[in-house]
Amino acid sequence: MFFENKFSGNSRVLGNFGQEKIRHSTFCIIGLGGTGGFALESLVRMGAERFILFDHDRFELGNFNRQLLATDATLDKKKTNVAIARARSINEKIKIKKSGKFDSMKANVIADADIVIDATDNLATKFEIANLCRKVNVPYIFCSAQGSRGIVSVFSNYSFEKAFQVDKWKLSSKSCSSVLCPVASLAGSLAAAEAVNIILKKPVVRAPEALFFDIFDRRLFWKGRLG
Amino acid sequence: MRDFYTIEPCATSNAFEIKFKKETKINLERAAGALKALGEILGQTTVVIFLKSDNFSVSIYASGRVVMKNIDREDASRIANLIADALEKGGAFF
Repeated sequence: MFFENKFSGNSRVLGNFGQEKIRHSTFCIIGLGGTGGFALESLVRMGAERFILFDHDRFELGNFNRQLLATDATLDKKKTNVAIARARSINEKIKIKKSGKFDSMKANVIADADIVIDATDNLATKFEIANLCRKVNVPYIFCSAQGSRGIVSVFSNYSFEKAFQVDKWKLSSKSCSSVLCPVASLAGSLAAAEAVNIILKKPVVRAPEALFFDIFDRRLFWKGRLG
Repeated sequence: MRDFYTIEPCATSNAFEIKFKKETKINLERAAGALKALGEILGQTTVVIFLKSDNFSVSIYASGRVVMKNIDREDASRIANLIADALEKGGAFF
């Protein structure tokens, strides 16, 4: 009853069938900071009800400039717990299949998802998650935000190493710059939009192509090739 | 470096986290008293203290998390020692 009342605006765009497909799909979001927080918010408001959520961290002062879920009330709280509470404050029917800290042994958990949104902030972890997704054949959405720029791309069969021309042994697990809020918000929302497009079998920007954006660039958005 | 904690670089640049080996919570009232000698306490709430000195800034969370910022690796270990020592002597751990 409440679902239809709350999210009827979606059905008018997606149709009831589209809305039900989103509602019953399982979205895995890894990283619930800047981009992940906005991705979760968008999906919940799009009517998604099933999630697998991973983050090992707690909210800290340095998150306030860009992370939707970082507030005085959530400071020092676990990001997964805050994210679940936020999602359930929008839709009390949200089901969390699994949450907590992500580790690479969790390939079986990823296999339960229909889509994985990788909102982590370093390339070494992204490499690991992308390979796990490829192994278990779950579409992987790469999203990255740095400074004023962002990238979003969907990987299904294309190899992550090839796209980024990386040697996994040389990857740093350290990210190196901060992100502006509109950039995190755009990257997260675009990742959520691509997740919905996959579920609804609509066209997506697939690797090696990617959607690039820069809030300080006059073009704002453009499509290009990774690697 | 004392043996009851380690230092790990944070995802953001020039930041290090002091990780205590045992699960530790911090009494922020006591921590504020203990850390006064290291710098100026710019803010204190029920969950965090923010302290700034000439060379670094540090956030101390009640959950036991301590994040040092604007600091390079050489200084991180020395300053972590000062902070951990002050917290221990001030009876801030529980």
